[in-house]
Amino acid sequence: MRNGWTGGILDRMTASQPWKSVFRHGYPATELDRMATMFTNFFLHLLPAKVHPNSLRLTYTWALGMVTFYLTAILFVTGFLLMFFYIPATDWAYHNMKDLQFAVSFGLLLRNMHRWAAHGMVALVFLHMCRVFYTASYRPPREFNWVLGVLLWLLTLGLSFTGYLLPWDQLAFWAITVGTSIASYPPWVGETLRVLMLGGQQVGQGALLRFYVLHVAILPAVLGVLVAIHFWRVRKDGGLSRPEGASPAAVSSPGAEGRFVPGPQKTYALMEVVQGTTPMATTQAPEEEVPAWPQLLFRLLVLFQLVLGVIVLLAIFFDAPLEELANPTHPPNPAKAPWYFLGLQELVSYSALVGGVVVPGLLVVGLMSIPYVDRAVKGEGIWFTSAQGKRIALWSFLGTIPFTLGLLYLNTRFGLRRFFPDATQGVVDLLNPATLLLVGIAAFSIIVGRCTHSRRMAAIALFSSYVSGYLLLMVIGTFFRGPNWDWVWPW
Amino acid sequence: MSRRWLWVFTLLGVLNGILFLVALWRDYDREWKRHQTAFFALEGRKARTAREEEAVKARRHEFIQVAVAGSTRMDRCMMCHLGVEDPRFADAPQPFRTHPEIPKHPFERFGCTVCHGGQDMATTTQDAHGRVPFWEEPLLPAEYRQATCGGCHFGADLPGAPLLSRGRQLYAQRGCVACHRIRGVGGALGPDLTFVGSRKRDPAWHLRHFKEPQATSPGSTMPPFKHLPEEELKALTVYMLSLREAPQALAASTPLLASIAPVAAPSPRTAVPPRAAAKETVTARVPSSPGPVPSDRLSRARELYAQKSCPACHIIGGVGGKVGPDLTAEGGTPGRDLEWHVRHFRNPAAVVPGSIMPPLADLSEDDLKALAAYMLSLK
Repeated sequence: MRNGWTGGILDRMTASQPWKSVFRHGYPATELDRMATMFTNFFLHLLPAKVHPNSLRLTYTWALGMVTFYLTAILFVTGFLLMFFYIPATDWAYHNMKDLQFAVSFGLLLRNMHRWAAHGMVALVFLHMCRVFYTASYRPPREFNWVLGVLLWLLTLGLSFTGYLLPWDQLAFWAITVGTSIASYPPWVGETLRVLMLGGQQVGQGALLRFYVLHVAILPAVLGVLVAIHFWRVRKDGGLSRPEGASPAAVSSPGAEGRFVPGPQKTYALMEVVQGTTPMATTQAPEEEVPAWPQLLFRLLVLFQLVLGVIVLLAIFFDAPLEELANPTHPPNPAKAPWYFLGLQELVSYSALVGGVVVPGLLVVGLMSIPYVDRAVKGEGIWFTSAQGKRIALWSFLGTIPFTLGLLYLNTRFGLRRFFPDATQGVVDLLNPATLLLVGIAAFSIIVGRCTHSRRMAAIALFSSYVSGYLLLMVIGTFFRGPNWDWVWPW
Repeated sequence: MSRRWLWVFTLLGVLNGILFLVALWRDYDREWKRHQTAFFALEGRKARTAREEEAVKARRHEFIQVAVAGSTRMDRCMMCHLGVEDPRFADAPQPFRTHPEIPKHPFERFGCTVCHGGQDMATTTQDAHGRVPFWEEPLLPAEYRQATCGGCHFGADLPGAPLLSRGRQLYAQRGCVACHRIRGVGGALGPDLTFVGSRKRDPAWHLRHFKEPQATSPGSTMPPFKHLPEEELKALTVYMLSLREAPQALAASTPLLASIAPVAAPSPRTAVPPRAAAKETVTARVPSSPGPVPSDRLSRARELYAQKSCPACHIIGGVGGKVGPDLTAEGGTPGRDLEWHVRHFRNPAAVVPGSIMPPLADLSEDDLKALAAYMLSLK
């Protein structure tokens, strides 16, 4: 390949001392060299030197975590570039959006990419969480990493929510007005929390500046640190969780020369051995792992191309929404929160207590406590744990839909306030679709747990019903709610 | 195995490269550049001297904008409308035609959108002319353009804007001022109109509203003005559209305008001061006529007569508007008793077919009877 004088120049360049001071190795042709490179390269050392073929299976992880990471990277890059053109002042923010659209080179493309990647990230963090839950990958020693994951999910919502205000159009202004009013429902602290967020009684210059600083400085910094810990814990907690059993044959034959053959006894670096109180080297059988270069690395590179391509494609053909300039005296009817909070807004329309306090609270506490409630150690890495789990997940998901719709129908036809207009708020908080839905789902999962004698099955029932119910409410809030939050058809 | 991944990687890389080129082309290929190229060609044809020709050849695509004084407007209209200040383009096709010179309104200070409407920062025809979703101020149709003069020229009789002046005149003549307030002057029965032009920017809306108020504003008690000729409605619409927020710095910069007071109260016959004052002044002027009716009831009726802005349309003893019939001798009209009047107040059109008087539906039975007694007392 390297012949002629160009090859000579290349060879001399890569053999020079400055080059070698930067790249300690040439292109690694043998597996041993590749593993050495994985160790010594700053970026590659985030990855393991060897991976188990079972963790590589696409149908196991669907690469959701990595796609989320790529979207984060795209968001950071486009976000930094957008910062060059944005002034967080109520007089200028909307103008800056128009400038991006009409004057800045690639301005609209950048904004579109940022917007679609942000929406995608909210969705993919959630899907990644579903994958980890359904494969029971939160089990020891990965409990804390699950908790970190839940925090990262909250951070993602926070980043998306704070970014939502920055265009300063009607959509942004009223979505944040509604969203922050949901935050004001918790008793005692709610109102203080809202004022603290907004830097005033209503969305204005104070709120814009606070949201901006949170969006471009504080939250990304916290996200960066947590992502680093999240990745580090993945490595230290034994790599990606994986199904046990034989690995698929196709993966286990790397194509490079100088094949690395696992010895009868696996050898370990010192750091791996000193983890416990006794050396573990002798207790483990050799694993049929494959080198991360090329098996993992090439997959990741292809995945990045794919993610970037999809985002650019979306950005070229679909423009990010921009409505009229924010007008505090002219509320749209209905004013809607960002789409991922519309399930909450739907619940708030029945009971502020349930939608604004109980559900968000239970969601966060419940999710974080999953690995500490389901304390089984074995059986991770299998989707839905068993055939029974799969059935339970499916029927919980499907069953919640008619249950929820039934409750909403009953509320519309025979709502409490219709017969008892003077019912106190306490009674309404007790008897409304939101509360009944929560109680129904909880009761159902307890019954499942009793019948199967398995906390895992109860958790699957609970999680599936919760997801199904929330998604349904989100769809209803998005498409089936019109002026005064009344029912409408989306067409 | 790894070769297959390489192929996929390369293929996706090429596809992404193509996407980048598409994005690059879309970013480069802007509508305004095509207009500028066409303009330069036209300019080349008009060049007379060798020096002019050289100058045309040296021209490149450029970004042009006018920061309108005292506002956040950034007019980019002249990126395509390149000939506005050049008299050689008086016969050129749009978007290059010369703009007639407006004295004391230099384009580099006033820009374009302050008078014409449209989206200041946009650089494509459709967006700039503002006929796109979520832009509230589209290009104003030529027949209503005088409206924008009224944003700064509050009170003057404007010789350059006859339609606007006529609209202001009609506003006073037709009794609008009785119920509506503009910059603190007028009745408080209807909505304040000081910035109605900023709230309702569509001329068609105003025309329809004048003819049939309830069609555009359900629940409105404003009487329909179907009977006015189209020309008058148009003038009134121009005046309504002119009532909007304009860059005040621009107006203050011209000494002539800064000294002009807000609309002065029009002729005393139609002027009704704000509600509080109306109670005193109008009732005081209503001629008292002693009769069998208890006087406290009568004074209550007079109060109501003023409160409900009746003088806006009706005259009693020479005071009031000319929209409705003169009521000076209403008590003498044959066939009209107390009960007839009450029925008429409740639903005027049912009793007098074709009447545009709004129903006084919100008044109590007692109040209606008091008013009816007051009507009968007028002889």
